[in-house]
Amino acid sequence: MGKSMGLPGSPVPTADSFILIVEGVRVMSHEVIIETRNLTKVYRDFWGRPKVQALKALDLQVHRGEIFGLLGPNGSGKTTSIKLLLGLLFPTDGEALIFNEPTTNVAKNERIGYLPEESYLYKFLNAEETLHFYGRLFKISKAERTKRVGRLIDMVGLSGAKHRQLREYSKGMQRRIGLAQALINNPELILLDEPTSGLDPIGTSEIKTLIRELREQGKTIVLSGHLLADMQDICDRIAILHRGELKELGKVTDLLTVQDVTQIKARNLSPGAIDEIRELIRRHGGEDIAVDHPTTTLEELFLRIVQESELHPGRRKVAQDAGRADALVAGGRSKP
Amino acid sequence: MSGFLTLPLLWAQAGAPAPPRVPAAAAPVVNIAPQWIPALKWLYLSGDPTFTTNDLFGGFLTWLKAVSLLCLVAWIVSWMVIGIKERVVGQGRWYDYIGVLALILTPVSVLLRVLESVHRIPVYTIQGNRVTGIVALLCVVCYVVWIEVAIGRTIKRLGRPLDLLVLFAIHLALAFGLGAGVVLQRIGFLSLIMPTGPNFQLGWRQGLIYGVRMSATFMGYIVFARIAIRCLAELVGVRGRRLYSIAVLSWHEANRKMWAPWVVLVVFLLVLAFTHWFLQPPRAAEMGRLYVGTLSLLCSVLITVMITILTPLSLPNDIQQQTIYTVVSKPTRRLELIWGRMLGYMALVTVLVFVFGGVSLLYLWRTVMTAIRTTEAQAVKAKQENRLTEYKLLSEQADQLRTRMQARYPVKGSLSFLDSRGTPHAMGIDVGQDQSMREPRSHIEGATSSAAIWSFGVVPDPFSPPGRPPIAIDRRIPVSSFLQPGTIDGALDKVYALQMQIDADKQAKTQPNLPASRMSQLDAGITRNQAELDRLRGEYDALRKKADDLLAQSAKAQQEGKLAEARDLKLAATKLSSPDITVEMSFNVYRTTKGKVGEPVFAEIQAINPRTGREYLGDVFAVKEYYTNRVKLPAWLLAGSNGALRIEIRCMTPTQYLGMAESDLYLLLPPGNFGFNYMKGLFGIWLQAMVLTAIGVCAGTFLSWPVALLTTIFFFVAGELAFAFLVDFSRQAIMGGGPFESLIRLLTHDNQMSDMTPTAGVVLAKTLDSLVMPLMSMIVYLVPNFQALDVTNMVADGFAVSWGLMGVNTLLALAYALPFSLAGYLILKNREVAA
Repeated sequence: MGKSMGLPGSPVPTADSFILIVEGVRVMSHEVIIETRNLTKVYRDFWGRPKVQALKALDLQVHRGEIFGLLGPNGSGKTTSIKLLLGLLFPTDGEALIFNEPTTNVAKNERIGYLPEESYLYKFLNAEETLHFYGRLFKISKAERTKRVGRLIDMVGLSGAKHRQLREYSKGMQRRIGLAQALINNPELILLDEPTSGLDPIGTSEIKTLIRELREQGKTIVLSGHLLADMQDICDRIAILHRGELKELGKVTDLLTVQDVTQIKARNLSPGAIDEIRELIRRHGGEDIAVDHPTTTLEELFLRIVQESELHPGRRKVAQDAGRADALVAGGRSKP
Repeated sequence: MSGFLTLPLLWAQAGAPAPPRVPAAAAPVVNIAPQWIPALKWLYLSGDPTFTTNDLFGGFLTWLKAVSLLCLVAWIVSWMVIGIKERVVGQGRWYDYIGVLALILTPVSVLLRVLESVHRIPVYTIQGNRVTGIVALLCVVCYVVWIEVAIGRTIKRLGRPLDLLVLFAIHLALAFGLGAGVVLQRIGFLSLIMPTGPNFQLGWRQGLIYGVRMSATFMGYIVFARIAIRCLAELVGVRGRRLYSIAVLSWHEANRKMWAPWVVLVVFLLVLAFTHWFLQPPRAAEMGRLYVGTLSLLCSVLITVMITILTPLSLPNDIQQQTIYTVVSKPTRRLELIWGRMLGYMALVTVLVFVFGGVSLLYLWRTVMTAIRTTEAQAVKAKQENRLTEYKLLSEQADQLRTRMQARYPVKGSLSFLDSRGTPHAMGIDVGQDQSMREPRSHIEGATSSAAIWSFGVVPDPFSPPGRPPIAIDRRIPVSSFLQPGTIDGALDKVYALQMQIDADKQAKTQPNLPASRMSQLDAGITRNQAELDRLRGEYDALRKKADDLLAQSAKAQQEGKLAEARDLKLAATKLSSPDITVEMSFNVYRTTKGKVGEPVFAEIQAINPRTGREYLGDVFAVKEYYTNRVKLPAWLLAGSNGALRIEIRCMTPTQYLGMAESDLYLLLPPGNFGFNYMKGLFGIWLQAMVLTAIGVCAGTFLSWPVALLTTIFFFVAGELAFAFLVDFSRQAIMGGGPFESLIRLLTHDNQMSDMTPTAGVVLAKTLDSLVMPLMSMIVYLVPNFQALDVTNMVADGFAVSWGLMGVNTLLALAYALPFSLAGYLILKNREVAA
């Protein structure tokens, strides 16, 4: 996907939607954008008998400017939550407010962008027509709409295919145009249901970059997914759902920090120095000491290879040993 | 207005209770102050479901009542369903047992009533009241209690404050309606307005029943108002850009996904290419009608089939494929989804109508017009070759073909009859034929005093109820369209008009106690009009003299052998008069065995201007069956008529009968353009498509596409082919009973007229019919009258489709399309699109 990101429309933070960046640490506004109270959804059969309880008394708040992740296995209620927030489903009990308005209020949708789980788009339209169709649903002037359509198509890297009908698109291309339609109105709140589903690692990486950029612009993003690494990378806070129940809610860093384990990273230590450190730890009562070389993630390896391939086309020599592989990925993020 | 009056009435099958026959001596004393009567009439007009006025307002009121009653039924059913689904109702509470009792009592009471009516059981009474009536009343009470408690509890638990308010208002309306019914009965108003007149007394029971009928309407108004407010609130948020966007989407969907317009276009062209292979007119003169009718039918079939398939597929697919998620998560209103789709499809239909219309007209021009020219050329050739019989035949053929390829504007009168003794009647002799046609036909006996009379002007309706002042109907002739200004007849008409004005003023002067100012005003008017009259008389005399001179010169030139000059002079004299008035007639002949086979039946036409007393007796003519008879009346006959005329037709052949309906005789205004008229005819198909689109989209909001498709097909077939049957069905006027009884008659080869032996099977069938028929007859209140919208037959017959008819049909189509589209909106608003 695109060049890095000339997103259409730049946000103008209002008095109550400030984003404070202090030494690279983002501080979210306390303004609540989404609030659910005792939100419950029970799917019933034709006769009104309860079939599945998809969501059980969900209470959560999402603040302006944060990336909020809904995490859980299949059938945990992530998509149901998003559908309830959009008014596509009606709650069996409880309520949900977006911008302090009930979800049934259609006018609030002017400020929302939504990417569904699958790219539910009209396959008989081409990319341009698709974005114009969705753009006309918002209060956007024709000139502005035309400008946004062009920029969004560029952004999602579909300039070369903008006149092809969507039925000819690959799944990844459909996700991209789906994302573009979610951004056509320059929304304040973006709901992304499994945004990286069906994308290759490059696409996934680009989506993640885009999401971060959107956050930089002050937008609030709610995304759902079950790919833990993706969520960990980009979310400020996450809610973990299981069988419709909220199991965990909090900042990613807080939730993932293992308080009773200390990690030390260093470059170019001699074996002697390592032994000294081991000894020092042992003296201070440390247990289960593990010292080894870090590995990178497969995603990073893949991205690097693709990047190299684009820079130097041609058949690439496959590394025969681990040392060569390490050399190839040297400089990558290390892991304990 | 006939279209509007066919709009459904929910209470039609219940019917107003018949007034009991009591002697005139027991007639009630009506003590209503005259100033209250209009207010009471308004109250009754607005409340009683079947009482209406025969005008545009009456049509609107009927529509409003029908829609309101349907709203009330839908409101009750929806709250009951919510109550059942949310476990407020049907949980074994005390009121549920009452509901079960009501459900059991319903068939029991119907069964008892059937047994009573077929005399299988005697009529049991308790203190003068029939047991069956008491059981039925108990049943109604049980239903009312069950519904009342169930809805009350459901709304209290799940409803919003506004729903509670509606519930409260409904109860107020119920009380008001019941009170109004009883009060209207007590003061004798109900007896006053009964068709039977005030000589029959209505009891308190009838008052109560009328009260229930009125309260049902008033309750319906409350629910209608609630829905209307909701729809208006939605309407405020509707934006053109979103409607346009969704319309464009529907357009692309139809074109790119379904290929619908291309398919129908190809089929149309294919059929057109081979039309001349299979279209063989039975008579050469019928060619135009056959071709125009077939092409209109082809357009109608293709467009309606396309819409029937296209519209119910769209929304269900959108929901099933979940593409609707990305649309409703935008600020799109549900009403925009419905109307946007309708707009898109109607844009498609509009384009197709123009394409089909244009191609059809080209085709007609190439085939029928060529046939007319060829026939005319053959006729001329036959005349030149002195083959006079053939010439006459060919001329008539060409004339009939040309007649059909016009847009004739008929001016119709009101038909009444004189019997053989000269007594006036609304209907003539019924010979047992053609009574099932749209217009019943009556016959007059040959060589007697019986006559068919067409009255023009403001004339009394021959079907006015007896014993009441006759209802006036306006059938005035637009005289100015026939009598051109600057002609002898035009001047004469003005002379008559002024003379009548002067006479009226002089008459007014004779009134006693006339104020001086009024007197002087009348004097001034008379003087002014007299001067103008003198001038017009002079103008008339001058024109008359000029015409006489020209005719004299023409005669002289004729004698001198200057034929061309004589013809020109005669033509100049003719131009000084208005053209003759064409009267067209299409009668049928009922031949008795006393007549001679093959001999024509003769008729005579006489026209009388009732205001001037001038008469015209036409020649006796042979009645052409299956063809249009044409007679010319002199234009002077209309001078001073003020739109009034009386045309009498008599059958001159003894022992034979001449049959006619009101539309069989008319005066012809100058014809309009056929092509334009053809497009007007296609507009009727466009209206049909609009109603069908509304139905298809509405069905798609809550049904899966196969069911929605079947539903749309059902509505179209029922409304197009079986509407008249459904109306009879709703009035329970079908001979042979309901479906179950008919099935027994079918199996036992029993005729429709005879009473069946009340065996157990027959009793069971009648009971089931009594339960099923009121439910089935409700279908008629939902099925649109597609037939009324189709005016292509008029076009094929060569008659102009008037703007007035188009306006009424447009209103009729909207009267159906709007409720369907709003119903679709309400359903879509209240359903979970992601469920």
